[in-house]
Formats: sequence, C-alpha cells, structure tokens
Amino acid sequence: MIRLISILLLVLQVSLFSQFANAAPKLGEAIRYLPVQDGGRIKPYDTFAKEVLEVVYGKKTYKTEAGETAPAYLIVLTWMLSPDSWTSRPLFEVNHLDVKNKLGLDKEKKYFSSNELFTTDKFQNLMQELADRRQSQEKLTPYFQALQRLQNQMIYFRELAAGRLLRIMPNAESDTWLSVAELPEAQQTLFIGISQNVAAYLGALAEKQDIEGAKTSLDSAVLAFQKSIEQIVPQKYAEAHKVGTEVFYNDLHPFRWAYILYIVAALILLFIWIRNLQSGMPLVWTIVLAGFFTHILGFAFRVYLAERPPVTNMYETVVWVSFGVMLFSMVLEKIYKYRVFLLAGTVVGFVCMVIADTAPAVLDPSLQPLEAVLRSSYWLIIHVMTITISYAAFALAFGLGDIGLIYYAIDKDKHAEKIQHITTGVYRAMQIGVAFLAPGIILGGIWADASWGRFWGWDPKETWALIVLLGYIIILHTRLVNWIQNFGMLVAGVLTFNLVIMAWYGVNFVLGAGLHSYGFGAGGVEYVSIFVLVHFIFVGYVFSVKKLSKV
Amino acid sequence: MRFKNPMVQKFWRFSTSFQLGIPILVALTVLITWGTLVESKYDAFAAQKLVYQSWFMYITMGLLVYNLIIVMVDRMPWKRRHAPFIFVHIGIILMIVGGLVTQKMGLDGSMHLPINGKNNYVQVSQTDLVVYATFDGDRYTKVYENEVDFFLHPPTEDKPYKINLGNNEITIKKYLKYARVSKKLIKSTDSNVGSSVKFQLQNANVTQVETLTQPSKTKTADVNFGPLKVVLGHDVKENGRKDRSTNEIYFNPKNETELSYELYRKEEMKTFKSGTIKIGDMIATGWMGLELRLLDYLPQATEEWDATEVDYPTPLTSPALLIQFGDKTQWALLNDVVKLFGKSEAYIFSFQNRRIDLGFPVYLKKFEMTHYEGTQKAKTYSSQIEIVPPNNSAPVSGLIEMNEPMKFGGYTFYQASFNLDEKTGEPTASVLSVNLDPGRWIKYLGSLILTSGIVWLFIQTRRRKTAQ
Repeated sequence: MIRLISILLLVLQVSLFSQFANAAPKLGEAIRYLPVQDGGRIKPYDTFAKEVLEVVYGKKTYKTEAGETAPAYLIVLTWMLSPDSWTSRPLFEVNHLDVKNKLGLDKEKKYFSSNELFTTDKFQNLMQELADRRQSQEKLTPYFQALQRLQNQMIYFRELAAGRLLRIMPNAESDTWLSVAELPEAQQTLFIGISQNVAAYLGALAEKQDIEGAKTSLDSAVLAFQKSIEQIVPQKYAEAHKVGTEVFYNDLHPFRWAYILYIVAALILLFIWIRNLQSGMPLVWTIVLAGFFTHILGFAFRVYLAERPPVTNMYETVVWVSFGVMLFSMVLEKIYKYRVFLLAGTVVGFVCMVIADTAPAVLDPSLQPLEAVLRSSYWLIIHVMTITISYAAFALAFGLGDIGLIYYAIDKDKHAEKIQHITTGVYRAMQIGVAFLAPGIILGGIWADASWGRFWGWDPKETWALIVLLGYIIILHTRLVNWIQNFGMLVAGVLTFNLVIMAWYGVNFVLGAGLHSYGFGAGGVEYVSIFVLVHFIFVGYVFSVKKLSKV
Repeated sequence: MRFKNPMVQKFWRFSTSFQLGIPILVALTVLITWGTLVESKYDAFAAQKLVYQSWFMYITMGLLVYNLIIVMVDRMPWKRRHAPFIFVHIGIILMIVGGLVTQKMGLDGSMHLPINGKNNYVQVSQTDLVVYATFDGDRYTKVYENEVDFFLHPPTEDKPYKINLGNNEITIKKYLKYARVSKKLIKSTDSNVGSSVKFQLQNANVTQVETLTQPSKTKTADVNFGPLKVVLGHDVKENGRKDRSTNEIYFNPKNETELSYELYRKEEMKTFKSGTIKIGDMIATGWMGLELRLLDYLPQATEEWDATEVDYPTPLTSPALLIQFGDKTQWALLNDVVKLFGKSEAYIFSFQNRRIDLGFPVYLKKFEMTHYEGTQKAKTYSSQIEIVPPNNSAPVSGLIEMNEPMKFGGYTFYQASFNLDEKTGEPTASVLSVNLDPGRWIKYLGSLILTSGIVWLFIQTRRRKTAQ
C-alpha cells in the first residue's frame, strides 16, 4: 500500500512541477503576466483583472449575452478600450433586496447596467444616505454595506475606464506606480497598441478567423510594452519576478484539486462503510493523501507569494480548518481503524473547502497585505493557528455527531457497535480540540500582552473563544460523571459546534455589524442561520424518533 | 474527605460535586456571552461596567475558585495520578487571582504625545469631578475633587449631585451616557468675552463653512486648511505672523459691525492685501481661486455645547453632564472645562478622566509611519521616545514599535495608535498605552501550570485507554 501511495504521489507531484517549470505564457496570454501594482503589492494583471471583475460582477469570468464565457483579463481591458459600449450591458451585480427596491430595479434580475444604476436621482440619494451614515461614524449595517459595495462597483468601473486604476509602470521617483493615464508618451502609445490588439483578438474570436495570428500579434504588442518599461526602470521591474508563479497558482487552483480528491475519497469510503467491506482502504488512503498534499501545496504557494504565514483572514482560516480536520481524522483513523473517522473527515474537509471556494464575497481569497498591528509577530500566527486548529477538531466531532445521529434515526440497536465507535470519536475529537484551544487562548493572551499591553481584555473574539472552551469543558465533564450517554454525546458534538460558528464567524459578521441592525443579507448570515437551524431541527427529529422507539 | 456532622458532610458533598461545578461553568458561560452582546450593542466600556466588573461576575468567579479548591482538598491525600488534575485546577485559580490583582492594583491607561512634545500623565478610565476657584482671575486653587461613577449611578432631576462651594453651589441634574454634541454660539454683553466669525471658503472644487470663536478677548482662534490658515484676534504688527510656512488670513474685530483683515502669502513678511469686512462681504484671496465670504460676525460671543441623547455610542458621541450654576444651566462634556462666573469669584469645572502623574516626563523625539506601496494603508508606525528619570540621571531613550514595547520604572509603554490632522493628514500625536501589571507573573505562572496540566491529562487518559 505504501509503495502504491508513494508512486501515485510522485506522479502527481512530477506532473505538477513539470507544469510549474513550463510556466511560460501560452500563446495569446502574455498580457496576463504583466506586473501591476494594486492593493499594496505587485501582482500579475491576471489576478488584478479577476479581482476587479469579482468586485463589479461578482465572478471571475464574464458571461456574454451570447452565453459564452469570457476571461476577466480580456473583459476588464475592454472597459478601458470602449467604456461606452458597456453602459447598457448587465455588468453590475446587485443582491440586496432593499437596495434593488430603492433603485426601482427588477427584483428577479441579478445583473444591471450602469445606465440602469448610476444615472438616476435615486442612486444619488442612496449615495447621500451612505455619506451621511459615514459622517455619523455609526456602524455600517448590511444595508449600508450593500450601498458601499454599489459605490465601489461604480468607482472601480469608472476609474478603470479612465485609466487611473491600472498601475502598470514602476515610477523611478516614488513607490507608487504610474497608472495607464499617467504613462509617458512612448509607453502610452505602446499600451494603446495592446488595447487595439485585444480588440482585434476579440474580433477574430467572434468571427472565428485567424485567431492564431491575432494571438501572436497581441503577445508581441505586450512584449514591446514590457521591453520599453524594462529599459527605463529595469531594477524595479525585475522585482516583480513572482507574477509568473502567481498566474500558475491561479490556473492550477490547488485547493479545488484537494477538495475534489476529498469528495472522491469520501464517496468510496461511504460505500466501504455502508457495505462493511474489508478491502479498499489503501485506495482511499492514497486519494486522501494526494488531496492532503495538494492542500499543503496550495498553502506553500500562498506563503511564497504573500511572504507571510497562511492564516490571517477568514478565508484562510476556513482552508486551515479543513486542513486540520483532515489531519485529525487521519491520525484518529490510523489509531482506531474504524473508517468512520476518515469518512467524517473527508466530508467535513470537503464542505469547508467548497464554502471557501464559492463564497468570495464573505471569504476573500485574494492575497491582502496585513494590518500594521498584525505584522511581524510570531505569537500572533501561533495563537491563531492553534485556536483555529482546535475548531477543526470540533468540526470533526460535529461531522461524526451528524453521522451518529443518522444511525439513531435509522435503528440504534442494529447499529449499536457503529454508534459506539462514533461516540468514541466525538469524545476524542473534543479532547483534542480542548487540548489545543486552552493553550491557544493562553497564547493569544501572551500575544495581546506583548502587543497591546494586556493579557485579557474581554474582547469579543477572545471571549467567544473562551465560551467555546467552557462549552466543551462542560460537555466533557458531564460525560465524565455520566450525566450524558452516547446519544447526548452525539447531540453535544453537533449542537456545541454552534458556539464555534459564533466564535469563528458570528463575532465578525453578526456581533461586528452590531446587534441592533437586525437586517440580514450581507456576509452570508442567512445561509449560516439556515445551517444552524437545520441542525437544530435534525437533532429535534432524531430525539423524537428515539423517544418513540422506546414506547 | 468525610465529616461527622451530617449537615457539614452534605454541604461538603455538594461543594465537591458536579452539581455545583457544572452550573457555575454554565453560569459563567452565559454571563460572558451576555457581556459580548452588551459590547456589540454599546461598547467595551459598557460591557466592563455592566457585566465583567459587576458583582454577579465576582460572585461567579468566587464560587468557581471555591469549587476548584474544595474539589482538590477533597482528593487528599493526593496520589501521582491526581497531579495533572491538580495542575489544571491550580493553573486556573492562579490565572483568576492574577486577573484580580491586575484589575485592583494595576494601571492601564493611555498617553498622548504630541509630535516633538512631552507628557507625564497617563489617562485612565475612572472619572473625577474637579473644581478650581479664583478670586483675582489669575491664580486658581483646587477647591473640590471627588471620584464619580455616573455610568452606574447617574444624577437625575429628582436626585441631583450637588457640589457645595461655600457661597455657591453647582448642581448636576442629568448625565447622558451617549450624547451627540454640537457647538452653539451665545451672544454676550460681557466686555471680556471674545468675538466670533462664521465664514465660507469657496472655489470651483470646494465649499467649506467654518466658525471661529475667540476663547476670550485676549486669546486667538485659528483653523488650518492646509494651504491656508485663518486666524481671529491676533495682531500681526505686535506679535508677528503665526505660521510663515503657509498662506494666512488675519481677522481682528474693529467695531460692532466690522472686522479688519490682512492677507499674507507663504514665506512673505509684507501684507499681500488688507481692508475691512462686514457681514455679506467677499474677499478674493488670490490662491487657487478661493473666495472668502463673511456669513456672520458677533463682536461678543461665547460658545456652549448643545447635547442630545442617543441610544448607542459612536466615535462622535461623548458623555455629557447638565450643570446648573446660579440660574444658568449648561452642558459639560467629559474632559472639557467649563468656566462659571459668580459675584466675586470664578470657577473652572471639569468632569474628567483621571490623569495619573508618572513622576517623570516622556518626550516624543520622532514619530514615523510607513505605508504599503502605492496605498494609504499603514504598514508600520513607531515612536522614538526619551524618558528623563526622576532622579535626574541620564535620559533613557528607546524605540517603540508595534508589538515592540519599552519598559521603564515598572511601566510598559506600547505603541497603540496615532492621531492625524483632519485637514492635512499629517500625524499630530502618537498614542501610547501605558501599563503597570503586578498580576502579570501570576497569570504567566498559572498559564504554564495549566498548560502542562492539560497536556499531562491528555497523555494520561491516552495511556489509560490504551492499557485497557
């Protein structure tokens, strides 16, 4: 088995790195590799275009009226090329119902044109409302956050079209790069050359004629532009050497490969587990490990590109928790060989990764520079990683609890042995969680003491971590004195996890927005609430089934 | 442990049982959850006052410590297998005790250091009422000082807070936790009172309305717009220009309806333009097409606060007191001074955060900020400070950065924040947090013991399970 695994992993990694080594642009895609300064760092134009389109359109690719998918790097450039052709096209995503109402928009539609949105008096009124709210310095409720996004969408589009957003040439005198509008005349001309070639390329695509020629011509226009900049500011331009790796990371999307492998493993495991098969585990292990290594590879890329540890924002913690779930489930599986641990692990790991991948508005996957207070502190990284890895253990207990309760709902006497195994897993996972969370909170205290001068200040984030700890300690103690049995343990595994959801997500998105702003709608609060509610109903249902079966 | 007396035995059993322990943990969880909700609804200060420093919090913590101790005593005589359990419990007790020591004996405050300035006071969250009195208008003496906690015990119309000053009395009739405040101008007939102007600055791009009021007849008031400064009540011929590095406009009251004005250009000593102005008149400044229009002029006016209560705090709200002196009522804000005039004496009244003298001055020599490339986002900020020890030995200097504090005389100085000039965006002050934490070592000791206990416990249960 081990030989099989190692061979497979070797094949996987060789194929990955051979691609990496050949990270030279494909024909017609040299433009994606243009270095751009944005958001406090240098990134490839490819990433820039994706992020801008994400803000404006909510997605990384654009769907044309003809139903074709167009990549961000072409679409965004056409805004600059001919902004007027975009005024009546549905480009701006608006989700908030209240905002749609106030603008008199069709509630069924999701995308609107700038003509529909920004030219009306109603829009001006909303912007005034937002300005007043900012002036009062009160917290922005989800409604105002939606207005803020609308404003950002408008500014991004307008500034990009005007050539002020895209900073594309290093400035010899200052740290701020020159935008397209500020380019010296020679470079300005060369950039127009790129734009014209993009237009020609799009034309060729539409007419399906001489696409190859258009691609070659676009690439040479890009190279000419780059060469002329290199001559003026060679030193500063050379510092942008990571763009190639970043485009490769964008294309590879390692975290997606990881969760695909996890779900494949989970499905095979489910089959093995339900059928009580004795074989097949080496195959599962191989796939799981392949997923796990791809997962690690993704982290390695982010660390290399951002030059900082990989766990600093909500998105990264979700990916990190998924990593922890896999790690703990593999360790427990190795010890107990019950198979259900790995099953729960792959399912929870998969779900976390999918959430991270599909909710960019809440979980921002872009590589952002750190806040000043978070910089260069060893303890910060350690305590965040320790605390969130404990959430991974609790997530595993949660997944196991769910599986166990399903057996209770089906037939608890027939599956008594399986239920016993699952309960052991829940208990162990909770222990692991507590063993990481308690030191993690203390490490957080040490960090707070070192950087803010107080060990404990009842800050909501730290208090909620303590609430989680107390919650699980209460459960472990009640189990210790036999106040709760197997069923209670499974229920606790599921319901106590709500505390983790609150500490992890709720503090930022529910408490942060202010409790007195009862509006839902931003930050996915409605989805999380449904998730929590469904689990309460599920537990209630299983409980009633259990009661009835006793009668 | 066993006791002969059945009542005592019963009570002991209960104290050591989970029937006490678990409800305490549940109560603690509920309490601190409530605390986070209060903080979300109001602010951290309210959460401290209403929950974390409330008597039920102390009782819960006390019961927890009691339970933790009793449970340990009950296991006596201890065996080796008890060790991790005892470690965990002692660790928790030490951390709670350490926290209490910090809260009761420590100091946690902030210090504003103006750029190139100094300070020897630390501001803390406790509030005091202070009154100074003068009979000659020159020398003030402190006649009243008392700590108040109006957040929990506010004065009301029915139960006002009174300050007896012999001949006079100050009555505090109302306290607003969160007040939105604005300045209002009161016309005065007192000849010692300064003047006030309201003007508009306008060009193709900006329109700004501003009010300037002299604090008294002999004091100046000014406002800085970056490329332009407007000054009221400053005689250039007698005292020279205030700031030669920028364009300046000086106003001086001439009579009941007119002001004289003088314009000075950057780096120049001679007058660029001068004349008189009355309400409605306009001056073309000659800088960036800016025009100044005088909207209002009061030869004698005082500024007073106007406060309205709001439900939730914002960065713009402040606590406010409604005070009555003689037959006059007015608002006093936290950390603001109010002048009160009696028949033959004057008072300065202040409702203020307590300021604690460190006994040595802290000088800010340099404040530096760096940004992420091409953005306004702060990357790092640091303060170069110098402390002159009280015994007049050689000054101690140090660099305070984010996460890199400096220690001196038992105090620790941390870089907390900075203030920016609203108009120019340049830093005006560095904000340090200063603290003294006598409970620190207890908390760290507790942490160490607790963590080793948890790890030990984890290994022990693993071994036991594997052994079975």
